[in-house]
Amino acid sequence: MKRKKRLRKWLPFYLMALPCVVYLFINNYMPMAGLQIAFRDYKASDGIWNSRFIGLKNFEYLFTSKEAWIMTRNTIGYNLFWIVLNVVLGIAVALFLNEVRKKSSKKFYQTVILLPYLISMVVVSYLAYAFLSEQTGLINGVLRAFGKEGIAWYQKAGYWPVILTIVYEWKNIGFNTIIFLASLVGIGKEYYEAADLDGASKWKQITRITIPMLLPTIIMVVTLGMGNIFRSDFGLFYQVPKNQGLLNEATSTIDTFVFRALMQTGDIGMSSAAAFYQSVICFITILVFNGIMRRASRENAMF
Amino acid sequence: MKKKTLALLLALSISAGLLGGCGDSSSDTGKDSGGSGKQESGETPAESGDSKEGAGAADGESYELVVELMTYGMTPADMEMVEEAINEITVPRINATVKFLPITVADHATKVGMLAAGGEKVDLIMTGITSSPATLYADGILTDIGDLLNEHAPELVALEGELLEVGTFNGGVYSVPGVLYPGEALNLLYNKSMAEEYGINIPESLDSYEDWDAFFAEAKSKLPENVYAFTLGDGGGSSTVNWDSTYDALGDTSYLSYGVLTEAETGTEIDNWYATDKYKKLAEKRKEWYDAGYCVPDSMTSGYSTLDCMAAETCFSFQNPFKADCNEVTLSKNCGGVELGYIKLSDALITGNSTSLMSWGVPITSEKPEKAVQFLNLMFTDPELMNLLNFGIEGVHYEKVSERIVGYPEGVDAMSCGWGGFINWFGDNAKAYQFAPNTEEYFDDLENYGLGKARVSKAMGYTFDASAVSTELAAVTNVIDTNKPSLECGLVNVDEKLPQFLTALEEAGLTKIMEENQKQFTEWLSNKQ
Repeated sequence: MKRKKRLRKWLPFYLMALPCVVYLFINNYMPMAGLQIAFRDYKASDGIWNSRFIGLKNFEYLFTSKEAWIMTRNTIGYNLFWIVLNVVLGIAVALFLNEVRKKSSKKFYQTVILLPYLISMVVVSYLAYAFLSEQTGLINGVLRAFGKEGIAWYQKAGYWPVILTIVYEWKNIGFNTIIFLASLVGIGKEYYEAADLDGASKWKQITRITIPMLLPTIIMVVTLGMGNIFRSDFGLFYQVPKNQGLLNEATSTIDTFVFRALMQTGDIGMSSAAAFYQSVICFITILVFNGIMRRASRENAMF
Repeated sequence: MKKKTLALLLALSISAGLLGGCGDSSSDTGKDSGGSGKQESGETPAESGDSKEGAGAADGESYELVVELMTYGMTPADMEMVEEAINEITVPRINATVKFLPITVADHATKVGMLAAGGEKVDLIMTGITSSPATLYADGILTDIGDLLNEHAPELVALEGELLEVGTFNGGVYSVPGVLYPGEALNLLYNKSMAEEYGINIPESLDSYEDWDAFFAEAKSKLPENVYAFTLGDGGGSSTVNWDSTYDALGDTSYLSYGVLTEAETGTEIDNWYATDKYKKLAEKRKEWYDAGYCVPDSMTSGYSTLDCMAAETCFSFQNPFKADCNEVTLSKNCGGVELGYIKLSDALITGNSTSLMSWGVPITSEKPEKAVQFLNLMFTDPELMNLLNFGIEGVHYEKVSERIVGYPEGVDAMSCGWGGFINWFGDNAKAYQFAPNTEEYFDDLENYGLGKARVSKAMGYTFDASAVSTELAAVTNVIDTNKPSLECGLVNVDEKLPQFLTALEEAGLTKIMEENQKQFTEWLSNKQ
């Protein structure tokens, strides 16, 4: 009897979820059968199920080449650094924005900060080029005005970790800010009022109230970042450096490597292998990170 | 309660719609195959009225041929009108109708694979551009049409002659070269009006690097500031053509990662192009030209291609191969209409690549490959059909300018014309019209690109099967993409970077690829004799 009642209570909800579950199943689960392409010598005439099985041969090129180390280092290195930077800068900007009193200016700043997030990477690459062009770029123009030599930005890998970081943060900071701002707004005013009464400084309020209250959001942002640790924004690493081979040391990531390596052959099996490899690594990192979080503080872990 | 029922209903209807959506599309394909099945069964051996094209000419209901139309992105507005006009020719002759399947050039390579994998009916596809007959064959997308060609298309086989070897793999013919004059000759093109305006002397020929140096020095001394003699980069991270017309790249013209036949006409040994003295000299020269200020600076990053620079008149000359469908007149259109002169650098050379660039193949999903072959034969022999396919309907889409030259009718231009904007070339260049501003001279020149007069690579018809070395190939491609452009654009010190490049190639496994290639090539050569 009780069970029947419970079912009646929840049935509409399950039914409401059904369209999305069906969608998820069709779009995200059914194609997983195609993962086997990564282990086959794919031929269109034989199809996915009947192409010759070749084990791990498709994965070899990801490890044997000398570039393997560079691209792995770059992909993971940039991502780790940027996850930290996303949190620090995101919170900082969100705090500043939160202090803006006038509603219209607040909206204005928020829009301006978010705008780059919506711009295509190809456009961004030209914006960057306007600054960095050797002949006509803004930066070299300024340098020359001060009687210095212009710098060939697109010919030296050394500059690019910095350039890529600036471009990435400029583009993505708005999105992170919004996430943190949403949580900031949710923190009750009374905590701050009490702190004011006790004479706590602004800085104390941030470190003792704001940051602890933001912890769940921070953990969510970091976990999501960890879930993408072995992927990179192709546009950022390919378009922005203008596909200059000279910069590979600093700009080659797994995505650009796969693109360059398979331009000629266009091998479906090998490209699937790369995507499979990325997914597995990301899956493992996200599990490990969440496991650590669970150990550290159970209630803050994502799952 | 009422609310709950409503929610339930809503949820149900949404999920029903979702499922219904899926069902619809599958029943669609079902209908499709049912329809074509009916066509097949409706086939009866009828009394052959017009048996000009041989056996399968007139037997019951016409077969619908699906032919790929490789577009630049827009489907021609009058496609149906042209199809109808085509059917008036094809139905009585081969009892088939033609239906075009427009595919954007950028999607071609992926789309063709998907069509084959999905079992969708297509009867003729382009096998060259953005893919190659060899890759399509290796992917199992193409059908062997060797016997069908001999049976249904003897005229076409005669026209193709030796060229047919280029589409032959393991004894089967999988692809038919679509241009019968596939030679490529390298030329240096220059802006004619600039040469006159600034009084730049144009040499008869450029045989040695001294000639090049003198030519560029002369151009630089006379050209105004910010106009350069030459450009080394193509605007987006690659170098411009440095196509040395004596080698055959054996299938990989952009990276040369298979090794090259240094002397195309006579060679039997496969070399690493990047390790030759010729390459070293070329890199050194390009560096020298760049440092001397002969070349457009920023050309690696600016986003302006060579043709853009020519159109903007910031560059005086560039290298480009001439082909049957590409000469100074047609290139001028791509250079913003500047008038071009040229210095011939080499005679035309026919290689496997130049031949397969524009070619036709019958995919495995064709239901009646013999009809596709009959259509190919008709396309190469019937000038009326060729002109219709290439230029549309006379008076609507084109008008005659002279005997064999056509142009747009009054009030129509490239944008407003209802037929055009595709890459396909249909039929025999010597029999079809040509578009203005080409002149009748075009037809005299054509011979130079054909089998009789052009030089022919020793490896024409040979295809390297790279599947055994795909791992090495990926690494090598990446190394070349990293090093080649900066070396050829004069950005780096050749003495320092070239040896590094060669070591990297070695480590990536170029030797293994070349050994495999040499093994296959030697075998192919001995089988040929």
